Amino acid sequence: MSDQLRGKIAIGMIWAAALFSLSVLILIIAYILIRGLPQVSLSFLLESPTDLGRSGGIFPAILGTLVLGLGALVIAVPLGIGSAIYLTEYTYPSRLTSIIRFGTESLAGVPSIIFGLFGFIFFVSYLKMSWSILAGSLTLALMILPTIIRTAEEAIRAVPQSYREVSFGMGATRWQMVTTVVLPTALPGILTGIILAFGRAVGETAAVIFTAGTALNIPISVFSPVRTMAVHFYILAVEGISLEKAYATGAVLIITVLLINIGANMLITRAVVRTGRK
Amino acid sequence: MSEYISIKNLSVRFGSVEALKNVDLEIPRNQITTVFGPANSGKTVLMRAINRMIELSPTLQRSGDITINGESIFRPEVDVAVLRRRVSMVFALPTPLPMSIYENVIYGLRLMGEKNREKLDAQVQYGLEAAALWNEVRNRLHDPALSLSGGQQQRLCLARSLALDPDILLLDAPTAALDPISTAQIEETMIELKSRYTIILVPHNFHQGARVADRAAFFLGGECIEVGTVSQIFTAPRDSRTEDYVSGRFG
Repeated sequence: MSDQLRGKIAIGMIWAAALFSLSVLILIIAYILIRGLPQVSLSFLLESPTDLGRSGGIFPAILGTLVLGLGALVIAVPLGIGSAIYLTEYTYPSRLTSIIRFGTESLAGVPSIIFGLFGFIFFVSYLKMSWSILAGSLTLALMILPTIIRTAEEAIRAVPQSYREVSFGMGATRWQMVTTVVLPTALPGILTGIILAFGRAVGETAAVIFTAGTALNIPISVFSPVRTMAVHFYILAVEGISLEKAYATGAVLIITVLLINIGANMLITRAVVRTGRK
Repeated sequence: MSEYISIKNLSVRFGSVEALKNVDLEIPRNQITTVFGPANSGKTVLMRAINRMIELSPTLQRSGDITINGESIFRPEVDVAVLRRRVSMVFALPTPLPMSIYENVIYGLRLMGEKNREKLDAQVQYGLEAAALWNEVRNRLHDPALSLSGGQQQRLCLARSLALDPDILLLDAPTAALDPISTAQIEETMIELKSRYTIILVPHNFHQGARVADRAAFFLGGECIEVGTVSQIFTAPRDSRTEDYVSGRFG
């Protein structure tokens, strides 16, 4: 077999793999949208469910999803970016940093149901938060923390060393260097990680069902229990309440995640264009 | 000749690597002193010692002293931030920060907390004029700095240093990445600037040192082999190693 032929076969296989992956993704999204979208209407989005979700809308679940996801970000983003800055800018590679890194990577590999059980035992029972937005957000925050640390660390590491040198050379303190040069340059990468993490939090069921509960009421405080769209979908489907409403919820969930992704991408592109890096 | 910067028996090590060995060097005010030699001869480390950038390395060991105007830069009460603004460095590769031209020039002033618009505008114009870039960018100060050409970027970096009104400029091979025309522009700028600043130049090749400098110091393997006026060093070197290097026998 000639090298050229081998190259062509390789290209064909790579193409096929890419095409297959993409079509699976499109198939899943299309299936849920086709089955779910016809049920979605303005009233479905803005009304509370009645009869356990058999009829009515999913407004409390939409609200619950966003509140829980944002709550998780509020907790995890400062912690994650802080850890990433510490690991990259304030310490030299040592035993301690490799232990911290090993810890976060292990955390990333823990199944979400374990986070759910931990959150239930620690936040819900031991700290007596009961099923609540607070307990759910804390649990989700722990779950997405490794993603945020890892992506932020990579984005910060990708900032050219010369920027740091210039900044120090102009008389910056380490903290000034981090805030004026490193973070603005790493921002698009850090945001990408945050969006990824938010997507994971928004779609999560196992970690949430034990910690935020399944209440269908509109939450009034961080101590109120909530039901997320993913949990709502799960309950409607598993308990055979209404498959139509389940798919409709799924469709709304997918569109929510897509909208967040598109919006964030636009923000990132604008940030990159403004500094002239593209 | 009044000594301005005085380097006394300076040795610098990074872990097991000896970067500078017992260097003694006097640098006069308002002249261009070129520090030249082959790769790894300690030129850059010397520059980075004078604004204490070497201290960013965790394995640094230093002995000896550097004084500016008779005062040691290593005294505990010296604020490195102030020192680095007084002794400003331009790097070998153009290193504009990913912000606008204007923001780049005032970067150092911003770090100092300067907020007065008029002062900032004035320093931007001063820096860019001194770096011979003003006429090319005056109408697009708020464009991204990365949209400039390589030569313009390097002059922007020079302007960024000049906007701080330093006393000493450390130019570490500032034309290494530039074309001949941009190089000539930067060299002309350097000669114009020496009336106001004391310049230490690591040349991009020693011919550049011969063209623009007043004094020259030849470095080899972390040692300062010979110091003198440019004409003496390049035409009548006293040390055979200097002679071998400037006559092209090694390099």
